[in-house]
Parts: sequence; structure tokens; C-alpha cells
Amino acid sequence: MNFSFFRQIKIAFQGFFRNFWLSLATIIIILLSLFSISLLIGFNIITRQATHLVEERINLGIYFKPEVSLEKIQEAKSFLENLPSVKEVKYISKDEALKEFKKKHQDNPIISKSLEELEENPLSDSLIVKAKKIEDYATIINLFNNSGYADLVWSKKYNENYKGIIQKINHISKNVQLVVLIITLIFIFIAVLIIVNTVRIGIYTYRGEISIMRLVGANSSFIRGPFIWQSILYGVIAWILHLIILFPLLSLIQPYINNFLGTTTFSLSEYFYQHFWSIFGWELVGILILNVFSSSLAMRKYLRI
Amino acid sequence: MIYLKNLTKVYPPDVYALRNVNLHIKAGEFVSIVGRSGSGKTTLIRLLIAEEKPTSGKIIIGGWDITKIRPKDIPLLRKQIGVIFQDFKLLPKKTVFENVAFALEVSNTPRKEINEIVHQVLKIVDLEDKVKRFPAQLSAGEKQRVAIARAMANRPKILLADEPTGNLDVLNTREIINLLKKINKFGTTVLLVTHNERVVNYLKKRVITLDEGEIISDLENGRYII
Repeated sequence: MNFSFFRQIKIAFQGFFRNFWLSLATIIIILLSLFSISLLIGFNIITRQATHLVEERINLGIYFKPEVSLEKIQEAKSFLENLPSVKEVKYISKDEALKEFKKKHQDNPIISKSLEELEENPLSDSLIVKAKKIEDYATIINLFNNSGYADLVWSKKYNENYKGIIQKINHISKNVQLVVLIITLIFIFIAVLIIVNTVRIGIYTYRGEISIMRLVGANSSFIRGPFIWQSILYGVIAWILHLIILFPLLSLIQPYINNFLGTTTFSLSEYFYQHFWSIFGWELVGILILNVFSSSLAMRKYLRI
Repeated sequence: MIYLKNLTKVYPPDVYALRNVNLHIKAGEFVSIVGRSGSGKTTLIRLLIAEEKPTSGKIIIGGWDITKIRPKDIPLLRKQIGVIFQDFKLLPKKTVFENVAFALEVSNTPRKEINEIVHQVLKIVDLEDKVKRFPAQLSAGEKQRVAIARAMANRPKILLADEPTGNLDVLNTREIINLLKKINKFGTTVLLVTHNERVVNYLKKRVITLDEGEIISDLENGRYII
């Protein structure tokens, strides 16, 4: 049984409580680093979600002349479906389109009255095309125009204005991410400095024990071990506290996220729960590596064995 | 047990702490090393526990050439050499028991074994009834006895005592010296560094006198001659 291990942990806890306020300050700065990392991840997820929602609204509508037969439209549909950049093609008959139109404008008496006055359905059969990527729409339009089906069409509608929205979202998110990233790096840098300083003070506080450990033949891993464990302890405590604070905070800001996205189907805390270990697990691993690195740096500089 | 061959230690730029020292101390011997301040006594102790490296010459302890000892082997050497100092070097926040146990805790000794050994060594130094006391609650002589118990906890083959009676009155000095003699009788080689003429003359053991880093006399049943 490795008794040294438990003794090192014991000494690490003693060191933690001997310099309690310093330990607390160290934990707070690690906590802030973790928060800014989570903020960065959360912001990235929201941006991705927003982009995805806008992308969902982009499509290419192909409206056929009234005399075009359903058979020809199905042929055009097959042609489009065989294009590698096309994700989905949906046929909407003019009757379905009218039904949808009426439903959409049921509260507008002018439009309803105008429709009643028309004897025929003014709408046409159409195909709604969704591309795999936004950039693919131009290629699809080009290929369709050069196909034999172009003459069957009286109108094509590509709601390109969404592309601008996506560009704007990406632009703003990149800038905000950069700011958050800089803040995160500053916090990480401060965390390294604080951990180095905490370990330095720990070494000073423990100088009596250290000199006796050396005298009685403690090996260097036994002397260094408690400082490493202490820094791991800081990381684990900060990580747990960060989770305890983060999730209630997410619940508080969820309405604002819903408002921003214009949907209630997406929950950031749900996303974090579903990807718990792939997000927070790596955060823990990262922060532990950072802490062990910082304490090793301090021991290299200040601990003479 | 201890061989020193042409041992020299120079501190920069050119201060000779030890100069060409040749010495052989047999296992089980009790040797006093005397000399004025700055004669090289403490440097000798520091070299023996690999706290410092010699400038030239050789140090062989129990057949092991420690002249160029690797840092990772130093703990093994120190487990075989117990050391006590004038200032005791006890941990004030630990009890007598904990101070002695500390020497064993660092070397992966099981708790049960620690309890047994600590009680054994505290019995030898006659402090069994003060296990729960803190150093501040002990007399100087008792503190030094705790330090001796700690030094003996790892059952070293050699005990180095660097001015162990420097802070003690006559009565306590006598007690500590008798204790060192008792430990020596158990078979431990004892190297006593001291200024104390009365101690050396009382012991009537081998006395090595150092002056300016050189051995100027080495006498069996010697006396303090400076």
C-alpha cells in the first residue's frame, strides 16, 4: 500500500488550510478563468445555433408556369435531387400553396377579399430547394438555368438577404469571441502567476518541514508531491464551484437567449448537460494541467531539494 | 565505515574549508571532532550527508563512494545517517510523537510500524511519558532527546551530532552525552562535533582535532588539546 500518497494528500490539505486566504484567492482566479472559458464555449454554441436557425430559413423557390404538367415538375425535381450540392427538394402544389397563403393572411381582410374575387388560383406549383451549404445556391441556380427545365419556370426566388444576416452574426460573434478569448488568456496568465506565488509562499511556510524531510531522507517526489496535490485541489474546487454557479446562471439568462434566437426550442443548459464531459471534462483536464505546470514552475524556481 | 581520502573543500574564490583530509572511522566507533570555529567541522558533516560536494578527494561510507552521489540517491544515504543539531530542528506544531513519526512517514512506513518504532526510540531516550507534549513544553535537554529519537527512527548506521550540547546546561549535556554513548553501545557509529572541552575529556574516546581545514591530531582516548 502506498502510504506516502495519503501522507502527501494530508500535507496538501494542511498547506491548503494554513494559507487559507491565499488558497481562496487562488481558487477565485481559477474560477474566473473557468467562467470565461465556459462563456467562450457558450457564446460559440449560441452563435452556431443562431447561424443554423437562419440557414434553415434560406431556400430556393422555383415557381413553374401554370401549363407545366406535374410529370415535368417531377422530372425537374429528380434533376435537382441528383445534384450533389442539394440537400432536399420539396414539391408544393398550387393548392397547398394557396391554403398556406390563406392561413398566413387570415387576419388580413383585404387579402382575403381579393382572393375571393379571383376565380382562379393565382399561385403556381413550385419546388423548394435546400442546399447543403449557403454557397451552393449559386451553383444550383446556374446548373438549373443551363438545364432543359429553365424554360418551364416563370420565377425563381432566392431569399439572399439571410446570407447577409449570417455574415453579420459571424462577424459580431468573431469579434466578441476574440474579446472573450483575450479576457480568458489574461485570466489564465493571472492564474499561473497566482498559483506560482501561492506555491512559493507554501514552500516558505513549509521550510521547516522541508528541511527536516530532506534531513531524514525523504525523496524529492515526497517533498514535491504535496505542492502538486495542493494545486490539483485548487483546480478541482474551482471547477466544482464553477459548475455550481454556472447552471443556475444559465437558467437566469435562458430567456434572453430565447429572445435573441427567436425560438424556445434551444436550451443552453440542456446542451451543456448533454455534452457535460466533452466540455467540462476537458475544462477540468486543462485546468489541472495548467495548475500542475504552474506549481512545477514554482518548485523549480523556489524549492531546493 | 567512513573513509575520507585527500578530501578538500574550497569555497569560491579560494577559501579552504577542508584541506587534504584523510580519515578512517571504523564501524561502531565513537569519535569526537573538535576544533575552533571555522576549522571545517561543520563542512565535514555537510559533506558526509551530501549537503555539499567535495572539491576533490573521496568520501566512502559503508563501501559506498558518495563523492559524486546522484541527487536521487541522496535520500537513501540520509536514511542511513542520523543527524542532530545544536538548534534541535523540531517542528513546533507537532507533538513529540509526531516529530519522531515524521521521519518515518516520509519513507512510506506503515502506521502500525511507525507506532512501534516511535515508542521504542522514545523509550531509549526516556521520553515515553511526554509523547503528547509540544516542543515548547519541553526543556532544552528533552528537545535534544526528541531530536535524537527522530534521528534514530530510521535505525541509521551512523549518527552525526553537530554541537548537540551547545544550548544545554551541564546536567543536560551529561544526559545527552550518556545517551549518545548508549546509542553507540547498540552498535551505531557516533561522530560528535563539539567545542566542549569537558565533554571530550569526559568521553575518553577517539578525538580528531581540526585546524584551518586540516587534521592536526588524531588520538585514541584523546583529550581536548586546543
